[in-house]
Amino acid sequence: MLLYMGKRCLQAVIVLLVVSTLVFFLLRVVGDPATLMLDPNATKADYEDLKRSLGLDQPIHVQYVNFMKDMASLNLGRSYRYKQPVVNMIKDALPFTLQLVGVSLLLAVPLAIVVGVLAAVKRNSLIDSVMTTVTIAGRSIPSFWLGLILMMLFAVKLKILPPSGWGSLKHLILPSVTLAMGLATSTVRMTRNSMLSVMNQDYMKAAKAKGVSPFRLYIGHGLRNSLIAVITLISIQVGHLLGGSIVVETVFSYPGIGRLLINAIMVYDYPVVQASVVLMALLFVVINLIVDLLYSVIDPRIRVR
Amino acid sequence: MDALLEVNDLTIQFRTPEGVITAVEGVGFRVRKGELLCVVGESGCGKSVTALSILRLLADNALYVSGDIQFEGQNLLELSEKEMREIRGSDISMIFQEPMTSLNPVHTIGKQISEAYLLHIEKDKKKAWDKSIEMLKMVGVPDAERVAKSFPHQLSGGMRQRVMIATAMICQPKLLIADEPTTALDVTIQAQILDILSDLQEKNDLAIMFITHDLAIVAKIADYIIVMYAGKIVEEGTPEAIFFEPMHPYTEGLLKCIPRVDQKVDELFVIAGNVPNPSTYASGCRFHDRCPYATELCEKEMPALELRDGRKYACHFTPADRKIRGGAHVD
Repeated sequence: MLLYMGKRCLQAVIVLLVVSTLVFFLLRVVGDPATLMLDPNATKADYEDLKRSLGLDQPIHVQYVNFMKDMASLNLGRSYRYKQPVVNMIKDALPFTLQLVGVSLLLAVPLAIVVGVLAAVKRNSLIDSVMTTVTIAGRSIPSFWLGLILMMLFAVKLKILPPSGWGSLKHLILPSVTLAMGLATSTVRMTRNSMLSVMNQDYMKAAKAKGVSPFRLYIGHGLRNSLIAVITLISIQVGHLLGGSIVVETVFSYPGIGRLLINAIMVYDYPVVQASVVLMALLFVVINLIVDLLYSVIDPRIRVR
Repeated sequence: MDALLEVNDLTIQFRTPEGVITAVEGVGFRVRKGELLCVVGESGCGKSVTALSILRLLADNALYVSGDIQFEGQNLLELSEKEMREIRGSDISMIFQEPMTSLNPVHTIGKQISEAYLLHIEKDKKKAWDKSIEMLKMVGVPDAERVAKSFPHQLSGGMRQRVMIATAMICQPKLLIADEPTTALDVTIQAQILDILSDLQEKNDLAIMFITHDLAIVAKIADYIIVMYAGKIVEEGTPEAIFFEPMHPYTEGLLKCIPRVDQKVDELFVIAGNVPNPSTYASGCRFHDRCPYATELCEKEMPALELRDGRKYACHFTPADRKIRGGAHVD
């Protein structure tokens, strides 16, 4: 177990190294922050001064080594634009994103599993067909569009929910529903298909032969066996959820990491972009580790060595 | 003597995308208390469908076309699903062919054995758990306490089949349906499992319906034998009658397929041809295209299962007839 955890942590470090390296070089390829920060009347000398003060005049490999050193010592630097420490900006934004992603997960997963099981048990019935149609529609609708439609309906027409920004928990409803939709629909599909294949297993027939009720049969015997596939899907989807939060936060002007990142990208605010991207990668790695540990809880055949 | 289970004129069809398939046609038999009935036949002859139909465990696309299944004078086909659940696992229980896949991989052995007990007899979990350990000991599982706490993947095939038997027997059923319980096992383990079943039959006055394709096993344990072919019963009788004087050409063929140590053979005997596909049954006797004695009559007319000279079989001819005419090959 300890060895396993050690191995996983080492893997996580490697992933973060690769991600930081990629984000470092990609940023330096796409643009020059100094040109955006100067006013139009600035001289060439002003430009050189600014570059020097940002440390961007140094050769790229020196910049890279410095950046890695800073990352390793958790020194995230200051935002080029807002001049405040990146750590504080992340500290402010992170809870919002965690809240958004967390609520979306809680909205999507339990509901999707119930619906998926129902669709499998009542396969080829009206419920199943309706579910199939709804899930395909749900998956086909891009989240920025869904977000705008929901905003128009509930905020502009019905005026029951705030359109955007942050102020109260009410502000969380539309963004989290938008974000939850994609996850929910794919989870429904996966639960349904996984349940269907489990229902054909011999042990389901054997359980029925003991006289167990349908509820106990499907939930007690079937669902736990289908969950492995469902949880794998969810762990992958959480990556999409983090990515999706960038879009959704932007659409709803929601003050999370996603919006922070987008705004930083617009002005080539290197320190903020680097820190946000590495943080998202870290979140993804941690969630995957949790999921892998969950496997062994659900299925005794998978034991962590 | 009263029959515990009596199946009359049972016909079962399946609706499939390719059309309706008749899996079992006009099958009737009875199992008495304490009796071991063997149903023998090749794969696809409808024996498993018959077994599953008794507990109403067939897939959703199955259709009970005709017949009834009387258990202690009660037609199981008329019971509600809830009433049926009361019978499953308590009065009638079942063990399956594949011990590898018939146990739920995520539940402990003890939990799976005690499940039926908790459902039908005892609400107390601790007592049910103790009972499951007692059952494991009864079927000869060593170190029962440890096995009860383990998971199916940690046990061998033979052990798992013992677990299945313990599971099926925990509520002391009156009838045990065993669908090819030894097919997936090694020969030595097969013998052990058969011994356990025979033992249970004797001690508990248990009736067993034993489904198999292996005539050699049948000889050892059966009180009465039914031979099925292509969804119909072609012959039935006591083991002595079936083995020493088979009346139906199919039974005769099956018996020839068993290799014998006291006879030198160059080539093992096989019945030529294949089991006909249920969706393409032609008229006439379903065995006619594989039967060495078939005549024009066999192609045209389906022989009924009739009692003749104290024997029940479905053939237009008696063995004596066939001998006189001489077949395509008569050894």
